[in-house]
Amino acid sequence: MLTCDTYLMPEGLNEALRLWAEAAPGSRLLAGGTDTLPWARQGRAGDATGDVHVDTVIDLTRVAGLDVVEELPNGRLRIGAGVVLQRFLEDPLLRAHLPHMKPCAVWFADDQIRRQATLAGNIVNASPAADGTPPMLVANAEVELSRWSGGARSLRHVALGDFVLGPGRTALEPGDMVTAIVCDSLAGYGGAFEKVGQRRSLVISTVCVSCCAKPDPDGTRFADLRMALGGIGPVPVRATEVEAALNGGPLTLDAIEAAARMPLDRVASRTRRDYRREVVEGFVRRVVLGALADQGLVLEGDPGDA
Amino acid sequence: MPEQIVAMTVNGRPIKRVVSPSLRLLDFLREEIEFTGTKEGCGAGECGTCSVFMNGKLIKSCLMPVAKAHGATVETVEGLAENGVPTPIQKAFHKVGASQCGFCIPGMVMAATAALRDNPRAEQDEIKERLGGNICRCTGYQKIVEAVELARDVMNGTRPAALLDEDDPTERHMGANTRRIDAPGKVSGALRYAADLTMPHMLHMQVLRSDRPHARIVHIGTSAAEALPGVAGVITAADVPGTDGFGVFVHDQPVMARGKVRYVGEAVAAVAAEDLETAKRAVRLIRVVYEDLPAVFDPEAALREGAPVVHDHAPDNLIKHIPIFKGDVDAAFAKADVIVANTYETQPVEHAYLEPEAGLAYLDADGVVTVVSPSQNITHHRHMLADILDLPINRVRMIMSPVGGGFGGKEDMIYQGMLAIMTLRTRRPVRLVFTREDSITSTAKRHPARISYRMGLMSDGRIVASRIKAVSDGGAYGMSTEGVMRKMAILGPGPYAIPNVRIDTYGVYTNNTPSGAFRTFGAMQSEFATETHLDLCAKRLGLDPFEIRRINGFVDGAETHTRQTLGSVSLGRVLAAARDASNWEPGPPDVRGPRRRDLGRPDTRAPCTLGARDRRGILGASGRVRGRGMAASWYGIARTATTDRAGAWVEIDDGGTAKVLTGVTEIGEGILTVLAQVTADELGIRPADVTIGDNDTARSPEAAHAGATRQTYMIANAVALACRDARRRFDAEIAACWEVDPSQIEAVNGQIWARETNHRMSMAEAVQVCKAKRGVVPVGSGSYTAPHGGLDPVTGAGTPWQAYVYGCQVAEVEVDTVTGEVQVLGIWAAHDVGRAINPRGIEGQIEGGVVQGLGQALMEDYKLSDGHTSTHGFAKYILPTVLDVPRVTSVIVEDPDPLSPLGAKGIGEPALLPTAPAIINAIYDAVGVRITSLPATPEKIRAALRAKKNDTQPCNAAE
Repeated sequence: MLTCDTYLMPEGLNEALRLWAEAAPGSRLLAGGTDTLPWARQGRAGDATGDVHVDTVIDLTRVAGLDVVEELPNGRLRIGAGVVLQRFLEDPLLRAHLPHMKPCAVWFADDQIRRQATLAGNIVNASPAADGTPPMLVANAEVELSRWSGGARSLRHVALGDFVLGPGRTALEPGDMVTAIVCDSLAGYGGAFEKVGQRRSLVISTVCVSCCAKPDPDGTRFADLRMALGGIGPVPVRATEVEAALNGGPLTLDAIEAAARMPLDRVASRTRRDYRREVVEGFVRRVVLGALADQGLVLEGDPGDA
Repeated sequence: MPEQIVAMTVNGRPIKRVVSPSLRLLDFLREEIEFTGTKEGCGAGECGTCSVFMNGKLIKSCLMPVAKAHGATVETVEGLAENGVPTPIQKAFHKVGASQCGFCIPGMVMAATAALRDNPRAEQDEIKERLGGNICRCTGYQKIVEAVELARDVMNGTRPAALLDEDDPTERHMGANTRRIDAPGKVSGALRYAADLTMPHMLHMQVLRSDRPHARIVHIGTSAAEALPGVAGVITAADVPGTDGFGVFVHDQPVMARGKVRYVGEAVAAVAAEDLETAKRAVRLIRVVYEDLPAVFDPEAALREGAPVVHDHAPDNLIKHIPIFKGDVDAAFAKADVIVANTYETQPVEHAYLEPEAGLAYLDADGVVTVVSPSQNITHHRHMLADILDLPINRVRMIMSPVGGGFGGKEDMIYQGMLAIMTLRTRRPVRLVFTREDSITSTAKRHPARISYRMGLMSDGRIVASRIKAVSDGGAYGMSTEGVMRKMAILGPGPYAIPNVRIDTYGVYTNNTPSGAFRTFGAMQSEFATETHLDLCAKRLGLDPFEIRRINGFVDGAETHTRQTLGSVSLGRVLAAARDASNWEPGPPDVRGPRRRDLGRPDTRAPCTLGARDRRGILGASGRVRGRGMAASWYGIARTATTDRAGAWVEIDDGGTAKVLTGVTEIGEGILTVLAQVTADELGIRPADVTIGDNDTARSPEAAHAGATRQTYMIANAVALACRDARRRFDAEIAACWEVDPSQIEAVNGQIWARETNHRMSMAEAVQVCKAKRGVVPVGSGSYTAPHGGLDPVTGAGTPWQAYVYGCQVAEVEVDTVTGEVQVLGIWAAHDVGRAINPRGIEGQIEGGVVQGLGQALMEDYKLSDGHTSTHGFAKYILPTVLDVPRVTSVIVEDPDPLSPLGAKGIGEPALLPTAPAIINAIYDAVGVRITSLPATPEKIRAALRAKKNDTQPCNAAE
């Protein structure tokens, strides 16, 4: 169990940042808590009796404004760090702008957990298998980091690909707090997400792939296709070679087939590498077809399995 | 200790408390304000037993620091029923038999409530998604989903509310779908399990466990722990007053490690303190000096000469070898047309009952040491505990608390000894509650087995010889290993008339987590091998898998492998029932899946594609292939190769009711309801009139354990005999009063009359007559005996059981060739139960057994590396969810047992037997890869597909 001496629930962002800046070493920020509490148990971070003790927990769920989603003047979206996964299924703004998040969110943990778990928390947890990270890579996301310094809030942005450094490791510096994820709007794209684990609900991905695609107006070529892979190495990555191969090219099964074999060398996991390579190949095919189908475009003669 | 103020409204009541900031909402609800309907199954958000509403949203309260609920409105399961009237959902759970052990049920009811509050017209797919975060280990989910759909329709007015009520009482209750008598307390959250109990002055216990697989204990330093304020006692092996050692067949396990530790997770010392936090802090202060010893983790390595010795009494590390042979196997192989050989492996499996172990011990007013715990065998526990405590047996009392799932895992007395010693030492009540991680790391698993198989057949399909050798890891202590090896051997060759058989099973000590009793007690492992092996043989001979079983199957009067002559054998009926129910298309098992025409019937489910509420652009079936497989099974009822017995007392009570006292162990299977039905029919009252005394060694006669599929067979017969005894006494008095012959007396549903006369009254009046006018209290007792004989130690010959059951299941699967995932879409399960006392309860056992079999077939795997597990919790130890389970069609076959009063046999364990081999055979049918090592994970199937494509020797198969 996570135990603490002090549990704080600030209601303003500046207050939260100040508390965090002043918190004793080893203190923790907490949002939904759905990763942190299971982490603080036997067999994971817990000691012999299954506890992890920290000085202070700063709970961010009551910080005003953290759960806001805004459309920025540059066309990007700013998703507050308090936005939970369930919002991607229900919020009309998010549904319209991030169609590829719906199939990700619907597979995410379970019905109860995704009402507490935040996208930002999923990213900060930096699991190689984090389901939320690949779709955000696809959306060219940046992580908005805030800190309290010199009596004021300071801000910086780090590209998501530079933020997640390895299993459980991020570019967060002491005093940093993720306050938002800023990403592209993908309105008008089709979205798809594939994941495999050991069962069908409440399951950690062995491999997951996110994709969004937009055909050109006459439906014959890929105008923009983006893809990212998770569970295949220390960090989720964009499948840039697939994107390069398909973008501008014809919407054909042959093209997709050829592209599906490209990212296999990206599979750098220490375990189950052959398995993951095969799944990636199949999933690339499925997500491209799925993203097109989400746009109402069904390619004839879907070739199926390998 | 730090504190903070928390205020919230719980079930309409404003509550304010000063609490530790480390509490979770779950702890607050359970411990501070005693709403114990909310359960802790895993503590990590993986099981849903703790689901509650917070500000109208369903949440897992184990993931919720209590401060988050400050100012919130919280609704728990206790808050659902207004003025005690259950909601339609609760009523529907009761009606359809959706609760078994009941531990997951409060969370399930909450999840169902959330689903229908959010969408009163939710379709089945959406309901399943909404329940996807709640694990049930008993029911297989089918009746839970059925209950939610029934409640939905009643609430929407599309089905009549009367469907939620008890069916009209029939004249005979045996054979009717009587609602479970223990369900109302389960759906309301009122039933208190051991972890829900408290007593004044109660201490909290915590256990220090070994982090070494094999080490000598040089020293245990407890002084710092003892000196910690708030600590009331610290105990180690040195504090055991009597003969230290427990187990089922050999008492080789000390209450706490004595001299050395033999596995990671073994108890070394225990602390009791005023509160849990202090007890934990004290555990951290205990210093153990170990000297590591060479350890052994593989049973075959453990059998080799020079291997590290786990127990001095077994220098060869052999716990038990069971041989059975008849005929001349070698000569038969020489004459066989074909010989098929292969090797199979089954994995260790965790019981994963949703209720982690817990117990409360105290000294009663007379000083009797009393332990309340969810034990499957308090009779045996009392025997062992009296020796351990060196007390006369009647100074030790075991009380069974409601068992939140057992499946064999709660037969071993792994913590009750510590509780008893601690309560004697401190003279105060002591409670111990396991975390999920404690439960997984310290308790027994299903024995993993490595089984080599050689079968000789004639070209017409007759099996002429079977040679089977199974080596099984018993882990660090003997527990049930001997019995498991025995059952694995007796049943291993399958329900087939094989003239020449040799089977040897070996249970071996290692430094792994102990193996113990688990539903089917070894039969699953050996029958899995047989039933998958028969598929290979059928393919080789071009025979339909039903046909090869029909050719070889036992028939009436057949001789078993232990040379017992059988009476009536239902195997042929059972095979036909499964074949017909599934509309099986005949043909050999040669990868017919892609061309079968019997797939996708209405009694299968659709493959799971998440997003019922957001379905759009679903892709077709590309890369997904279906297939079907089947398997048969057999099982013996009640204790193996030893005489079994059970007793009961009955009183026909005021108001025409009845009290039944028997040491019955309801672990969720519904035995209490079965006994109420039996009592009702025998006494002529209604099941609702029956009160059944809880299992308590100081209050009820011995009926022994929940296991061996024995309770309906042994205890229902004992209760029937006790009822008949009471009725003899009762009828004699009523007959004397009416001046008729007792043989004229009949009673049904609360009415009693004398045949061929006008004498008639209510049972309530009759009891009054019997007691007030005649001065007789109508009591009765019954004892039922099943005279089983031991096996010959050399040949294995003997009569291990008098009643046998048979089963057959057909599985339909869909394999995703991209990911290797398998979805089981349909199971048709035909099982002989002797006589069906409660068909709905039997269906519940079959559905639950199927899903446990599915878990073992596809996903469950207790992983150990050098004795350390990497599957501590439900995030890593994967169990089937409602989205992973098939549509199950149960077919009940009745072949009454002629040797017992009621004719009923049993279903609890055998329901699980055919599932895993049927699924594995179906996978082969679909994609042509044979998985011989369980579980058939996506990765293993992909690897086998790769090997097949590359035309290399399949890594996981040999033919």
